[in-house]
Amino acid sequence: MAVRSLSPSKLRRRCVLKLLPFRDTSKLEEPQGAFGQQRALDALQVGTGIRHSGYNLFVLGPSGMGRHRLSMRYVEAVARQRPVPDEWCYVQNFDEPRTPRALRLPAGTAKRFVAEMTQLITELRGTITVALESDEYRGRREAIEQEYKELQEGGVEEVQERASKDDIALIQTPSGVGFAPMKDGEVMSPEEYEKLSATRQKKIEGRVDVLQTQLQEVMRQVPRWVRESHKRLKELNEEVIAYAVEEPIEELARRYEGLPRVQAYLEAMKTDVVTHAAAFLPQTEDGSEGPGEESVDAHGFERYKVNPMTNLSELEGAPVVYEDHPTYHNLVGQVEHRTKDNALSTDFTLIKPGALHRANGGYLLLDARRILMESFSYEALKQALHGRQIRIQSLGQQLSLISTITLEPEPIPLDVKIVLIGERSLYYRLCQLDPEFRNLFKIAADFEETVDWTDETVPRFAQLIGGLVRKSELRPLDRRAVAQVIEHSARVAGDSHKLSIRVERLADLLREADYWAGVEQKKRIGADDINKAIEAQIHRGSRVRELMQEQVVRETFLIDTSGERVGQINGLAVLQLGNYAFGRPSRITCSVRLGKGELVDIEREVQLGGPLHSKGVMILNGFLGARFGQRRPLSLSARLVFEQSYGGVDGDSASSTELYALLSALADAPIKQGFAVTGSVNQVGEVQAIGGVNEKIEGFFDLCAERGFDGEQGVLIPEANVKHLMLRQDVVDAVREGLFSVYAIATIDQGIEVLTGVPAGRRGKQAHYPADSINGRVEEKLRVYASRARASMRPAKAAQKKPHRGAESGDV
Amino acid sequence: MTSSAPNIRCILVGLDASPMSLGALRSAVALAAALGAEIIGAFVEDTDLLSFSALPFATLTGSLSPRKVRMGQAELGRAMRGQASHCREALAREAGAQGVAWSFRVLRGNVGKELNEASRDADLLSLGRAGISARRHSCGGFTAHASRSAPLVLIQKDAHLGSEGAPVVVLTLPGERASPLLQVAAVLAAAQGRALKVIAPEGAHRSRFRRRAEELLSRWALELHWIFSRPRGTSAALVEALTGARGGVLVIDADNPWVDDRRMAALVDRSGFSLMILR
Repeated sequence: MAVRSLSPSKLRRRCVLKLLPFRDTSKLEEPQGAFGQQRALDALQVGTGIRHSGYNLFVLGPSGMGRHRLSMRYVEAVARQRPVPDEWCYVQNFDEPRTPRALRLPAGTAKRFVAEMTQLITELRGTITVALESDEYRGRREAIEQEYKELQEGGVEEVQERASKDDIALIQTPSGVGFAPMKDGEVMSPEEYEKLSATRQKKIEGRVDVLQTQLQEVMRQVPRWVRESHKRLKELNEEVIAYAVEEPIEELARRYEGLPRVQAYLEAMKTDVVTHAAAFLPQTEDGSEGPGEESVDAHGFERYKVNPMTNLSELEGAPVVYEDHPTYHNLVGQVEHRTKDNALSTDFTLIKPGALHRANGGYLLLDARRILMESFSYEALKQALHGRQIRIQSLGQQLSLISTITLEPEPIPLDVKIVLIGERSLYYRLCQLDPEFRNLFKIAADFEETVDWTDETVPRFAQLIGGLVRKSELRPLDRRAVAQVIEHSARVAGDSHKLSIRVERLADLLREADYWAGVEQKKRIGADDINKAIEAQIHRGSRVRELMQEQVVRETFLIDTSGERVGQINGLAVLQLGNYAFGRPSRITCSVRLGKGELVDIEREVQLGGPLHSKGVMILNGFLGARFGQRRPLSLSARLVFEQSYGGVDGDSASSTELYALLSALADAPIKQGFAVTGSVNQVGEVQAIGGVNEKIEGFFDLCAERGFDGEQGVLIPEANVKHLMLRQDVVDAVREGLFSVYAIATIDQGIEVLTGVPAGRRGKQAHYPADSINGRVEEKLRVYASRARASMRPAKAAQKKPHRGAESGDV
Repeated sequence: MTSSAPNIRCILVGLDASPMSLGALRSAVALAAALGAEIIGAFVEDTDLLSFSALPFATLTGSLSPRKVRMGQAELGRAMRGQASHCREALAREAGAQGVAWSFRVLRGNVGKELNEASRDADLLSLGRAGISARRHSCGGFTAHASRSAPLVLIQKDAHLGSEGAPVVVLTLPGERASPLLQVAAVLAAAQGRALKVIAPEGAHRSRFRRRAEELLSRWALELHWIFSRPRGTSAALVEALTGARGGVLVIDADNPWVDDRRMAALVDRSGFSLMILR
């Protein structure tokens, strides 16, 4: 039965306006839930509902689907139903300052605790100052100092008194103390001393020697007295400060009863304040702190501060955090440093929380691609999830890049649900390459790209449009414009039974249509504005397409759109440049000759053909063998080539086209060059569906339109692709006017008949095809080739036998 | 209450490179800057020490080591030259920073005598608490007996004349000496930016005395505090004032009958106060 071209109604599906019972979109409510994403929502429900470890989510789908928005909205709704988690803060570890302590506080109390500790510090500062400046303290301190001063001076004065009885003076120098004989109230000069008798001199020197020994005895005790006085002063300081700080600290501790770690911290703090009493003493004359005491670090009271990792006091429900810059430090936090005296130093107040701290007890959303792009972030995330704790480690130290002393804060227990958002390819790649990934991200929320185009989905799609319009504050769309958008969404989906729900792309179209409506000062966006926006999008992206078409029109690139040729046919390919895809015709030729049954794909020979293309060509070989090689070997050699193709060719959508060219060459039947063909073929000659059918048809249509229609032009497409047709309106109009045709082809026989106008032919009773049919002419050509091949083989065999016989005769 | 205060145009500072004498230098320079006075630094090469070092058995005993150290003349000479140089540099630095005119003298002899002699040309003698003589005199004793030439003597007990904000306390009696004493105290308080606490005897003329004193002190716009005490309670009031003041400067009249030489020596040696003594 002859194949008829498709009617215009088959080429583009229309949106039924009665399904859009509104004037414009201004009063349309947004669709409930996530339109068309029930599968993803179910996954989100399971993923957020199961609290066990490993049940983290990977939200997958192409970008522009609204994955971030929808995931965030869903997670926020779930989080509102959950309790506000406990909070964490870091405080000084007085025993091991390099390991700051993590304190867990009930939800919403961290801010209060920080404020109360700050208040306590202020109080202690005042209390200690008052205590240390009190008359009582000063009196007791001075009494101790005076006691030891008198001990020291008393000892020296005693020796001095003994010396003066013998008219000997005690001489004090910066280097020590000595003794010298006196005369008339002055130290005796050397000359006067020389005048003394030897006996007198000996007596004086002996006495000086005794005095020096006595002084030494006194001096020997000085260090002990100093130690004792320091010890007693230290005890005094500790006693006074312990008494001063006890009540304020215990009062605060009473407010946090039931929190043993907080109690323990406050107890340790009290001990530390007392131990470092010297730090609170007034400065001595030489600027040093109190004697013999271990001093508090340079920050003084800073060490008693509290560094909160979260502030959830204003939060209702569990926290939801989206970290859009997931560097290692932004994720797990870091210990910062300050510069002092050209050296780096740090303490627990410089611990900065990361996204994991902020999201602890709730949900953390991350962009999968970004976290994979950031060095060490993905590994750090997995480590935190495995260990169920946040451990802040310096990246520089891990990599041995810096040797500055840093902190190792106590790890904080982690209870967070991670939601990674990424593309499908990333998800599958991670599943394939990372064995840990599947254990940590057990729930995949797969976003749909399309919904079915049914009478039920059309109104909801209109609501989706209405919601986008309202969100972007655009003019409302009238119902025809909505219908136009729906039809365009089907075209974007590449299927007349599906609608694309890539909201970002849809929103782009609406914004641009709104612009055009604004140019014309309209109150509503009409269908013509939608069309204008679509055309403008196409125009912006079609520079390369137009250049290529120009090459064809100027016959630099040879494509015939009229006439007939043997072994030559127009194939169709799709090129994707950025967001814009377009069809491009290519000339495919085939030459045949006598051979050994090989079908040579020239693209493959020169390594320009991809594996799918090679597979398609091999299928042709299978087709030929199955149809024509049952009785005799195929003694042909055929060569197929994409003419003027200088790049790679892949895909099998041209395999039917190549088969038509081959059959034409074998049957010596010219192919009408007004046709272009697309479709893959199997070994039994059935034509199979391909992708990009709309773009391919329109690509050839545009070329024919440029050259002028002759009424004989058209495209052959697989019958299975008819449901995908959403052609441009100008194509539909041309078909309606009989200028252009689209044929839906199920088999190779149907196609070759359309292309050559010659019947394909069916096998008769003798298993032969009719002689004047395509198949019959091919069969005859192959028979001729086979007999010629046999004939050409005979002399060769004879020649092979002659030497053998000669040898025999020679032997004889 | 009409006698005027001594006009302080020249301040002599006794220097021996000890921290106390350098503290006294700082205070003296600050006072000189405030009063527009010149400052003279005096370093005395102690002849007692020189004589001692020339003796054949001159050795020193210290508290850091049991070893006796021989002190020779050469070593002592070098040490004294070094100390004098250090004192001169400190004077130049401190006075230069405040824009005060200065000069420096190196004297040789008995420290007390030399400083007394040198202070005849000065209006104020400023000394640190310790280290002014090789002979182990108490500072108080030296102050009480030796320093009688300058009309004013300032004995500094710490690095900064007491803690910041500590008041200047003046112990005064009615009579002609009251006016100069109050004015000296006011000058010091104004120069240091401190409050002035006046301890005066309780009696029938209390109000009149206070009014006239306030008139006298009004030109300095000082924060004034008054303590009136019965003569018999003056010592107690003094103790109370000194204790409550937490350090500072006590300005007294050398002729005050309640502060004889013995008490003054004790005050210098044992109280936490620096002393300004008006002769």
